[in-house]
Amino acid sequence: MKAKTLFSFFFLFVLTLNLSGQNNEQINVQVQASLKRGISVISQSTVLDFGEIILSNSQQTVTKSPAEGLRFKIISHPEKPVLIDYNFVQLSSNENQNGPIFVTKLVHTGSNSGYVNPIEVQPGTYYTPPNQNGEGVLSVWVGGSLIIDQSITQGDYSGTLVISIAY
Amino acid sequence: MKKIGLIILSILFLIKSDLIFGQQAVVQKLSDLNFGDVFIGYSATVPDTDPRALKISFYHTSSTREDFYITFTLPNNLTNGIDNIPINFNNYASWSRTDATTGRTYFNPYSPLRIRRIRPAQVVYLWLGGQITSSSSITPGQYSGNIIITIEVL
Repeated sequence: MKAKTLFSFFFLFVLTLNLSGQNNEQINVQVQASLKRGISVISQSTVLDFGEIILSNSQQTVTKSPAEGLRFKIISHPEKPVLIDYNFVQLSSNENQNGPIFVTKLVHTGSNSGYVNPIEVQPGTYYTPPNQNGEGVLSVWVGGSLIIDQSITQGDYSGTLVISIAY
Repeated sequence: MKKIGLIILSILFLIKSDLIFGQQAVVQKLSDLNFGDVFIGYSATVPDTDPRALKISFYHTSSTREDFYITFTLPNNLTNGIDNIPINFNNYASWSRTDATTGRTYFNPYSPLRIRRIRPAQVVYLWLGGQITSSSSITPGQYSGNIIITIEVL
Protein backbone atom coordinates (compact mmCIF):
# COMPACT_ATOMS: atom_id res chain seq x y z
CA MET A 1 0.00 0.00 0.00
CA LYS A 2 2.86 2.34 0.80
CA ALA A 3 4.48 1.64 -2.53
CA LYS A 4 1.17 2.29 -4.30
CA THR A 5 0.77 5.63 -2.54
CA LEU A 6 4.29 6.68 -3.43
CA PHE A 7 3.72 5.64 -7.02
CA SER A 8 0.47 7.67 -7.16
CA PHE A 9 2.20 10.79 -5.87
CA PHE A 10 5.10 10.28 -8.26
CA PHE A 11 2.63 9.89 -11.16
CA LEU A 12 0.81 13.10 -10.18
CA PHE A 13 4.13 14.93 -9.86
CA VAL A 14 5.11 13.87 -13.40
CA LEU A 15 1.72 15.11 -14.65
CA THR A 16 2.17 18.50 -13.02
CA LEU A 17 5.59 18.91 -14.62
CA ASN A 18 3.79 19.52 -17.92
CA LEU A 19 1.94 22.43 -16.34
CA SER A 20 5.17 24.15 -15.41
CA GLY A 21 5.86 24.94 -19.10
CA GLN A 22 2.85 27.27 -19.26
CA ASN A 23 4.31 30.14 -17.20
CA ASN A 24 6.55 31.25 -20.05
CA GLU A 25 5.01 33.04 -23.03
CA GLN A 26 6.89 34.21 -26.11
CA ILE A 27 5.68 36.70 -28.67
CA ASN A 28 7.14 37.71 -32.03
CA VAL A 29 6.82 41.31 -33.15
CA GLN A 30 7.80 42.92 -36.45
CA VAL A 31 9.73 46.16 -36.91
CA GLN A 32 9.24 47.79 -40.29
CA ALA A 33 10.47 50.88 -42.11
CA SER A 34 9.93 51.88 -45.71
CA LEU A 35 13.01 53.70 -46.95
CA LYS A 36 12.22 56.26 -49.65
CA ARG A 37 14.38 58.42 -51.85
CA GLY A 38 14.08 62.11 -51.21
CA ILE A 39 13.28 64.50 -54.06
CA SER A 40 16.09 66.13 -55.99
CA VAL A 41 15.82 68.47 -58.95
CA ILE A 42 18.40 68.82 -61.67
CA SER A 43 18.03 72.01 -63.72
CA GLN A 44 19.13 71.88 -67.32
CA SER A 45 18.57 75.65 -67.78
CA THR A 46 17.52 78.37 -65.38
CA VAL A 47 16.59 81.39 -67.51
CA LEU A 48 13.60 81.72 -69.80
CA ASP A 49 14.53 84.63 -72.04
CA PHE A 50 11.97 86.13 -74.41
CA GLY A 51 14.60 88.40 -75.93
CA GLU A 52 13.65 91.75 -77.46
CA ILE A 53 9.96 92.50 -77.92
CA ILE A 54 8.77 95.51 -79.91
CA LEU A 55 5.96 97.28 -78.05
CA SER A 56 2.79 98.12 -79.95
CA ASN A 57 -0.28 100.26 -79.31
CA SER A 58 -2.41 97.26 -78.36
CA GLN A 59 -2.09 94.37 -75.91
CA GLN A 60 0.07 91.60 -77.24
CA THR A 61 0.92 88.05 -76.20
CA VAL A 62 4.29 86.47 -76.81
CA THR A 63 4.42 82.71 -76.36
CA LYS A 64 7.27 80.32 -75.87
CA SER A 65 6.48 76.64 -76.11
CA PRO A 66 7.77 74.38 -73.29
CA ALA A 67 9.94 72.62 -75.87
CA GLU A 68 11.98 75.82 -76.29
CA GLY A 69 11.78 76.89 -72.65
CA LEU A 70 13.28 75.70 -69.37
CA ARG A 71 13.84 72.09 -68.58
CA PHE A 72 14.50 70.27 -65.33
CA LYS A 73 14.44 66.72 -64.12
CA ILE A 74 12.77 65.50 -60.92
CA ILE A 75 14.42 62.46 -59.33
CA SER A 76 12.42 60.83 -56.57
CA HIS A 77 11.28 57.53 -55.13
CA PRO A 78 9.98 55.36 -57.99
CA GLU A 79 6.22 55.34 -58.44
CA LYS A 80 5.66 57.66 -55.44
CA PRO A 81 3.49 60.60 -56.54
CA VAL A 82 4.96 64.09 -56.27
CA LEU A 83 2.97 67.28 -55.95
CA ILE A 84 3.90 69.99 -58.46
CA ASP A 85 2.71 73.52 -57.85
CA TYR A 86 3.39 76.85 -59.54
CA ASN A 87 1.75 80.17 -60.28
CA PHE A 88 1.82 83.03 -62.74
CA VAL A 89 4.49 85.71 -62.38
CA GLN A 90 4.26 89.47 -62.71
CA LEU A 91 7.48 90.80 -64.18
CA SER A 92 8.94 94.08 -63.02
CA SER A 93 11.72 96.49 -63.91
CA ASN A 94 13.58 99.10 -61.89
CA GLU A 95 11.12 101.75 -63.08
CA ASN A 96 7.91 99.72 -63.27
CA GLN A 97 6.66 97.19 -60.71
CA ASN A 98 3.62 96.26 -62.79
CA GLY A 99 5.21 94.77 -65.86
CA PRO A 100 4.00 92.02 -68.19
CA ILE A 101 2.32 88.95 -66.74
CA PHE A 102 3.91 85.59 -67.41
CA VAL A 103 1.35 82.78 -67.64
CA THR A 104 3.22 79.56 -66.97
CA LYS A 105 2.74 76.39 -68.95
CA LEU A 106 4.35 73.21 -67.64
CA VAL A 107 4.45 69.85 -69.33
CA HIS A 108 6.17 66.59 -68.47
CA THR A 109 7.44 63.84 -70.70
CA GLY A 110 7.68 61.12 -68.04
CA SER A 111 11.15 59.63 -67.82
CA ASN A 112 11.80 60.51 -71.48
CA SER A 113 14.50 63.16 -71.76
CA GLY A 114 13.30 64.11 -75.25
CA TYR A 115 10.22 66.23 -75.95
CA VAL A 116 7.99 63.24 -76.70
CA ASN A 117 4.26 62.97 -75.89
CA PRO A 118 4.16 65.96 -73.52
CA ILE A 119 1.45 65.95 -70.84
CA GLU A 120 0.31 69.28 -69.40
CA VAL A 121 1.04 69.73 -65.69
CA GLN A 122 -1.78 71.38 -63.76
CA PRO A 123 -0.75 73.38 -60.67
CA GLY A 124 -1.41 71.65 -57.33
CA THR A 125 -1.64 68.19 -58.87
CA TYR A 126 0.16 64.91 -58.12
CA TYR A 127 2.18 63.14 -60.82
CA THR A 128 3.92 59.78 -60.57
CA PRO A 129 7.53 59.70 -61.78
CA PRO A 130 8.05 56.43 -63.69
CA ASN A 131 10.65 53.95 -62.47
CA GLN A 132 13.93 54.23 -64.34
CA ASN A 133 16.66 51.94 -62.95
CA GLY A 134 15.27 52.15 -59.41
CA GLU A 135 14.68 55.92 -59.46
CA GLY A 136 11.57 57.91 -60.17
CA VAL A 137 12.37 60.25 -63.06
CA LEU A 138 10.14 62.99 -64.42
CA SER A 139 11.31 65.43 -67.09
CA VAL A 140 9.52 68.77 -66.80
CA TRP A 141 9.50 71.50 -69.43
CA VAL A 142 8.52 75.10 -68.76
CA GLY A 143 7.13 77.51 -71.30
CA GLY A 144 4.40 80.11 -71.20
CA SER A 145 2.97 83.33 -72.50
CA LEU A 146 3.93 86.89 -71.75
CA ILE A 147 0.91 89.18 -71.73
CA ILE A 148 2.09 92.72 -72.44
CA ASP A 149 -0.42 95.47 -71.86
CA GLN A 150 -0.33 98.49 -74.16
CA SER A 151 0.37 100.76 -71.16
CA ILE A 152 3.63 99.05 -70.28
CA THR A 153 6.69 101.19 -70.84
CA GLN A 154 9.92 100.05 -72.37
CA GLY A 155 12.63 98.47 -70.19
CA ASP A 156 14.26 95.26 -69.01
CA TYR A 157 11.67 93.19 -67.14
CA SER A 158 12.29 90.07 -65.06
CA GLY A 159 10.55 87.89 -62.48
CA THR A 160 11.03 84.71 -60.52
CA LEU A 161 8.97 81.65 -61.19
CA VAL A 162 8.72 79.36 -58.15
CA ILE A 163 7.89 75.73 -58.84
CA SER A 164 7.28 73.65 -55.71
CA ILE A 165 7.76 69.90 -55.72
CA ALA A 166 6.86 67.80 -52.70
CA TYR A 167 5.60 64.34 -51.74
CA MET B 1 -10.89 4.62 4.60
CA LYS B 2 -7.30 4.65 3.40
CA LYS B 3 -8.55 5.03 -0.17
CA ILE B 4 -10.59 8.09 0.71
CA GLY B 5 -7.54 9.58 2.42
CA LEU B 6 -5.49 8.92 -0.67
CA ILE B 7 -8.09 10.60 -2.94
CA ILE B 8 -8.25 13.66 -0.68
CA LEU B 9 -4.48 13.86 -0.60
CA SER B 10 -4.34 13.58 -4.39
CA ILE B 11 -6.87 16.40 -4.87
CA LEU B 12 -4.95 18.61 -2.43
CA PHE B 13 -1.72 17.81 -4.26
CA LEU B 14 -3.30 18.77 -7.60
CA ILE B 15 -4.60 22.07 -6.22
CA LYS B 16 -1.20 22.80 -4.71
CA SER B 17 0.65 21.91 -7.90
CA ASP B 18 -1.68 24.15 -9.89
CA LEU B 19 -0.78 27.04 -7.59
CA ILE B 20 2.90 26.29 -8.10
CA PHE B 21 3.02 25.51 -11.78
CA GLY B 22 -0.18 26.86 -13.34
CA GLN B 23 0.74 30.59 -13.35
CA GLN B 24 0.11 31.24 -16.95
CA ALA B 25 1.03 34.50 -18.70
CA VAL B 26 -1.51 35.60 -21.28
CA VAL B 27 0.09 37.93 -23.84
CA GLN B 28 -1.56 39.89 -26.62
CA LYS B 29 0.20 41.84 -29.37
CA LEU B 30 -1.66 45.09 -30.00
CA SER B 31 0.66 46.64 -32.62
CA ASP B 32 4.00 46.15 -34.35
CA LEU B 33 6.68 48.84 -34.46
CA ASN B 34 6.33 50.69 -37.74
CA PHE B 35 8.51 53.63 -38.76
CA GLY B 36 6.47 54.25 -41.93
CA ASP B 37 8.13 56.19 -44.73
CA VAL B 38 11.70 57.28 -43.96
CA PHE B 39 13.79 59.30 -46.39
CA ILE B 40 17.16 57.83 -47.25
CA GLY B 41 20.00 59.68 -45.52
CA TYR B 42 17.84 60.76 -42.59
CA SER B 43 17.12 59.33 -39.14
CA ALA B 44 13.65 58.55 -37.81
CA THR B 45 12.43 58.15 -34.25
CA VAL B 46 9.28 56.52 -32.97
CA PRO B 47 8.89 57.35 -29.25
CA ASP B 48 7.12 54.83 -27.02
CA THR B 49 4.17 57.24 -26.78
CA ASP B 50 3.73 57.24 -30.57
CA PRO B 51 0.82 55.17 -31.97
CA ARG B 52 3.35 53.57 -34.35
CA ALA B 53 5.26 52.07 -31.39
CA LEU B 54 5.15 48.37 -30.52
CA LYS B 55 2.43 47.68 -27.97
CA ILE B 56 1.61 44.51 -26.09
CA SER B 57 -0.55 43.70 -23.08
CA PHE B 58 -0.31 40.80 -20.68
CA TYR B 59 -1.61 39.42 -17.40
CA HIS B 60 -1.25 36.26 -15.33
CA THR B 61 -3.83 33.69 -14.34
CA SER B 62 -2.50 33.03 -10.87
CA SER B 63 -4.77 33.69 -7.90
CA THR B 64 -2.02 35.52 -5.99
CA ARG B 65 0.26 38.49 -6.74
CA GLU B 66 3.11 37.47 -9.04
CA ASP B 67 6.25 38.90 -10.61
CA PHE B 68 6.81 39.11 -14.36
CA TYR B 69 10.29 38.53 -15.76
CA ILE B 70 10.55 39.92 -19.29
CA THR B 71 13.43 39.51 -21.71
CA PHE B 72 13.83 40.99 -25.17
CA THR B 73 15.67 39.65 -28.21
CA LEU B 74 16.27 42.79 -30.21
CA PRO B 75 17.72 43.20 -33.71
CA ASN B 76 20.76 45.42 -34.17
CA ASN B 77 19.74 46.22 -37.75
CA LEU B 78 16.75 46.27 -40.04
CA THR B 79 17.38 44.75 -43.45
CA ASN B 80 15.83 44.66 -46.90
CA GLY B 81 17.97 41.67 -47.87
CA ILE B 82 20.61 43.90 -49.50
CA ASP B 83 21.43 46.67 -47.04
CA ASN B 84 21.16 47.13 -43.27
CA ILE B 85 20.18 50.12 -41.18
CA PRO B 86 21.09 50.21 -37.48
CA ILE B 87 18.29 50.42 -34.94
CA ASN B 88 18.40 51.48 -31.28
CA PHE B 89 15.66 50.83 -28.71
CA ASN B 90 17.16 52.35 -25.57
CA ASN B 91 15.20 55.27 -24.05
CA TYR B 92 12.08 54.24 -25.97
CA ALA B 93 10.78 51.38 -23.77
CA SER B 94 8.13 51.75 -21.09
CA TRP B 95 5.42 49.83 -19.23
CA SER B 96 2.36 50.76 -17.23
CA ARG B 97 -0.62 49.24 -15.44
CA THR B 98 -2.87 51.59 -17.41
CA ASP B 99 -3.20 52.19 -21.14
CA ALA B 100 -2.11 55.84 -21.04
CA THR B 101 0.76 57.97 -22.30
CA THR B 102 1.41 59.37 -18.82
CA GLY B 103 2.63 57.64 -15.68
CA ARG B 104 4.76 55.10 -17.51
CA THR B 105 7.87 53.44 -16.11
CA TYR B 106 10.85 53.52 -18.45
CA PHE B 107 13.38 50.69 -18.64
CA ASN B 108 16.35 49.50 -20.66
CA PRO B 109 15.09 46.79 -23.06
CA TYR B 110 18.63 45.44 -23.54
CA SER B 111 18.46 44.09 -19.96
CA PRO B 112 15.77 41.82 -18.45
CA LEU B 113 12.85 43.63 -16.88
CA ARG B 114 11.24 42.47 -13.63
CA ILE B 115 7.79 43.80 -12.79
CA ARG B 116 6.94 42.95 -9.20
CA ARG B 117 3.77 41.97 -7.39
CA ILE B 118 1.19 42.22 -10.10
CA ARG B 119 -2.22 41.28 -8.78
CA PRO B 120 -4.43 38.65 -10.45
CA ALA B 121 -5.94 39.63 -13.83
CA GLN B 122 -4.20 43.04 -13.73
CA VAL B 123 -3.41 43.93 -17.34
CA VAL B 124 0.07 45.35 -17.88
CA TYR B 125 0.88 47.34 -21.02
CA LEU B 126 4.33 47.55 -22.58
CA TRP B 127 5.51 49.86 -25.36
CA LEU B 128 8.66 49.87 -27.43
CA GLY B 129 9.76 52.57 -29.85
CA GLY B 130 13.12 53.04 -31.50
CA GLN B 131 15.41 55.10 -33.65
CA ILE B 132 16.90 54.26 -37.04
CA THR B 133 19.56 56.11 -38.99
CA SER B 134 19.99 55.52 -42.70
CA SER B 135 23.07 56.38 -44.73
CA SER B 136 22.63 58.05 -48.10
CA SER B 137 24.11 55.09 -49.98
CA ILE B 138 21.52 52.45 -49.10
CA THR B 139 18.92 51.06 -51.46
CA PRO B 140 15.28 52.07 -51.05
CA GLY B 141 12.67 49.51 -50.05
CA GLN B 142 10.98 47.75 -47.16
CA TYR B 143 13.31 47.13 -44.23
CA SER B 144 12.27 44.81 -41.42
CA GLY B 145 13.46 43.08 -38.29
CA ASN B 146 12.09 40.71 -35.68
CA ILE B 147 11.69 41.21 -31.94
CA ILE B 148 11.09 38.30 -29.57
CA ILE B 149 9.62 39.12 -26.16
CA THR B 150 9.60 36.39 -23.53
CA ILE B 151 7.33 36.90 -20.54
CA GLU B 152 7.71 34.64 -17.56
CA VAL B 153 5.57 34.50 -14.43
CA LEU B 154 7.77 33.89 -11.39
